[in-house]
Amino acid sequence: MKIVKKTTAGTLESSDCLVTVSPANELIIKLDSVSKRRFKNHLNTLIHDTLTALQIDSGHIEIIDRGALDYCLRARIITAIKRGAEEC
Amino acid sequence: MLGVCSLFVPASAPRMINASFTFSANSLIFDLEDSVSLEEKDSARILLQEALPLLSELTDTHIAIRINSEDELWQEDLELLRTNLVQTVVIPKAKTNRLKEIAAKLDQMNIDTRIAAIIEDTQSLEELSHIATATSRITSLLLGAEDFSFDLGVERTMEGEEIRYARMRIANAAAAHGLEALDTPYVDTKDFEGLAQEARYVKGLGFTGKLAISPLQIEIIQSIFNPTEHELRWAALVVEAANLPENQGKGAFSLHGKMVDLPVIRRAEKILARSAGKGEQL
Repeated sequence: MKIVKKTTAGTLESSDCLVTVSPANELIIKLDSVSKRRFKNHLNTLIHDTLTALQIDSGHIEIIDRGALDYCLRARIITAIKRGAEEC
Repeated sequence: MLGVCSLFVPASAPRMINASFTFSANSLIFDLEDSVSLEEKDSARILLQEALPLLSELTDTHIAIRINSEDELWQEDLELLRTNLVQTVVIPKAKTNRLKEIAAKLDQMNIDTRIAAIIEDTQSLEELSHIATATSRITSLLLGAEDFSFDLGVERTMEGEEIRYARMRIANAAAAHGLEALDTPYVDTKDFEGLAQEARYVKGLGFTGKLAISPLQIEIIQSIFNPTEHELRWAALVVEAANLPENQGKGAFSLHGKMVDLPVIRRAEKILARSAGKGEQL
């Protein structure tokens, strides 16, 4: 899949996260998370695994995490990508 | 079966989904319909898809989803059932033909999910018996009073006179077809006395439970619909007396001066079974 337009998914409410995706020539991930200090590696793995499953290898992915559990983070990434990407 | 108290949880709200497994409701209905805006339908569906495996690990509470009624949405919502983690699908604005269509789709998907039908317009009430028998998957009839009142063209009031007829018909149809009947939610989530009063009233009409929209309503609803200690003692006495050799084969017998016949014995057995099943209806 290829990100072709800027889209968002999620919210900035507690237990949620806001994911914004936009087109880019390379894969750029920006993560701002309340859990980053303790769970940085876990979060990075989760984000990369989700993008790999969606066959995304380029795009700008910005995530503002307000304490989302894994399922929520995954769901918001999938939603943002589905809203903004096209099948290659 | 949804049980005596079923709690609606917006499928678009992670905070509520996270908390839901800690609630003691008999069932949780994750809502993809009214509590989710049109722009967020896709997001809620994906969120629930990802949440269901975790929820099923954390709780053994009966899980249901309320799907949308629009053609372009309900078919996509049904895809969530492929997770095999949803026991009941709740159909809003239920109609006989739509229920048959959904049952056929579930057959095609080879999924044994049960169906609960929400009666929330005048046409549905008119075809209630057909709805109750539209498919063998149906376990429950639910009243949705807000939409029903709107369709009837009357104001929805706290007294509920405008839905009295609908309540009676739903309770009767459910009993006639061996289904559970769950009453509409009590919308004032701070008025616990009003909730208790309404729950007692609809129990008296024949409802087996009530929908909840706040976790704070669960305990009150359960305390009213679950059999009381007094009812359980009475039921145990009746069943015990019915099994005595001297009462076997009799059409009726006397217990503490009161006549006990088959309907009384069946009622007692039903109370004991409901208690043993923690809200499951016979």
